[in-house]
Amino acid sequence: MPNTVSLEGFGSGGASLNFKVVGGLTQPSNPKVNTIWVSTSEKITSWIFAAEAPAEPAEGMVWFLTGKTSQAAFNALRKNTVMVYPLSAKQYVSGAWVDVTAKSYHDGKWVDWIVWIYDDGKFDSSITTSEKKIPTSASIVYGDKDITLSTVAGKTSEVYVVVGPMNIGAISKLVLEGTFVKKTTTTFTNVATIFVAESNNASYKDAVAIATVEMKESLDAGYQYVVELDVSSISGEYYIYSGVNTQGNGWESQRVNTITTIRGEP
Amino acid sequence: MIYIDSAYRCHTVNDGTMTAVETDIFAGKCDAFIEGYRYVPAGAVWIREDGVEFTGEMVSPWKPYDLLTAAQAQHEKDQADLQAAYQEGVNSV
Repeated sequence: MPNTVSLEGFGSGGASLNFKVVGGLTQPSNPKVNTIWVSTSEKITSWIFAAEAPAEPAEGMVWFLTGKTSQAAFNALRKNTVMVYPLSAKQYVSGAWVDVTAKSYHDGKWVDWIVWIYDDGKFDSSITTSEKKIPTSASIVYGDKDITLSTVAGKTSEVYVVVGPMNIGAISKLVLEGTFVKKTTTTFTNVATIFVAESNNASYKDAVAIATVEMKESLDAGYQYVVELDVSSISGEYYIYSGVNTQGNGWESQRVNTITTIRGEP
Repeated sequence: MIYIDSAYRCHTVNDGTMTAVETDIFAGKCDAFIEGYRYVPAGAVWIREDGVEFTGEMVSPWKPYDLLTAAQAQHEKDQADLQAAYQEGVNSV
């Protein structure tokens, strides 16, 4: 059950508070304990920690989503205890909530909240990316806001964007979101999938952990899928594969899906 | 064939309460490796201890993966040693 108490405030923090909120595109170089850095070019006018979106947001407000646990949990008060479990951050810009990366400084190091591996048309610049296409004539097209992956008609096919090697020790859940583009004409399978593997040349059969959602014939084009994978028992460096495959079936009509978001949650 | 319990943990032997699942995803893996995994069938929902929900189909370890790979490595070594001993026995005849 999520926290039901909200914390709301203005400015960067306060004398009685045990944390500080700092905005900007450059990670602070000399942070104090419990500094929360929000990567944004927009002025932070206020902030709120809450389990649900604020009913009346103001321009520039940052909403820190809270949960029951967090890699970045902290005590909000200098005296007494109010534990806060932040998960992710959004900022209200030009009338809409925009995902922003936030990190906390604890025990001498920065702790990630949500890791936005791919979002809003961009990969995290600190992560190495590659592709895996079987056959090689399969297609990956990078758009302004999403990635379109297309299998090859009549072929057993796997098409993935690959990130890594990446340390997933601080991530307990991987999430892939996108849309189903091309309606199947047969009852053979098209699965949207996210998996982790030990090499950058893997097939879904080599997965250490894998989650799939089947794009069934009954779905309409434009269907928004979400695939979620538990990786809480896996630590160390792995490659993360996101994409579409025909699960070993051949003689398939072409499958086309998009990817809009790949993220890791603490 | 594997068997899953009510928490979707995998087993190699059915205690009479489990659901059978036909899959080749664990081909070549030893029992200790298989039984460190969770298999959530398509459409089923597993709720993690912290309340986070996962909808199948999902296959992921619930035991630390490092322990599972160590168990598999030991199993493969044992198999190789057995094969070597057997071959030595055959060769001595």
